[in-house]
Amino acid sequence: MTEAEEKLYIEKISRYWQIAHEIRVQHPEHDAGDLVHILQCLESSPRNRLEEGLRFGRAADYYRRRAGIPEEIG
Amino acid sequence: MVEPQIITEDALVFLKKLGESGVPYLIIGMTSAILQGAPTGTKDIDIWFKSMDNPLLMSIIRECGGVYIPPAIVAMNAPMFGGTLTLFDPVSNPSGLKQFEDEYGKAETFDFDGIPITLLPLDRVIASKEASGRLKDKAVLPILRATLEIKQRQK
Repeated sequence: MTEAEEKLYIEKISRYWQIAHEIRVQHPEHDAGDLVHILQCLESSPRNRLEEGLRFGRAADYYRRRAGIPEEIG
Repeated sequence: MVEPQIITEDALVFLKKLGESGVPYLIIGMTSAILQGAPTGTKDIDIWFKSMDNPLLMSIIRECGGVYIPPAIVAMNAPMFGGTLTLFDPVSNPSGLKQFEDEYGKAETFDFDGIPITLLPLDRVIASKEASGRLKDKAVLPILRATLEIKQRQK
């Protein structure tokens, strides 16, 4: 990342945190970090979102089985 | 090493053919939520058909190299897809949802890599997860509700 790109990135993430805190004023039940992750997720293409989701879901399933945690729970 | 493609070409062709043929279906569950922006995970693509007793659907499954394995009392298996379509999980009675026609009427058409697909709206995914009562479904409710909040603000 160039210095200019880094600056833009930090500005964008700061804006996301600002939005998250604004939402939390009305909806304190939401986690600010979750809200930021959602805003970041919405930046990526639907295909990328699903690919990431499938990778994450399958990895989580693998470690759940390895740890002997029932599917009901994990 | 080239990483294997997680969303296969067969899966994309299957979705395309379903759309072109007019076979009514809904992508439900976590896949629907993920496509609508929820940063979470899933093992497969839950897909709900109005009826599996549809020769056109069966022919599309075969054309795409898939196999439909119906539920069986003896083997106690749930309905499933085999062959090239194992990424999909056909769901027959999703928790907390109304009749297929009711939910289909509220479906959202979504552009997935140029392929129009029909998704269960996020508020209905939440209703389904709330109704299932399973711990793993309860665990994802906060992130799904937060995603819905952002979606509503972005409208």
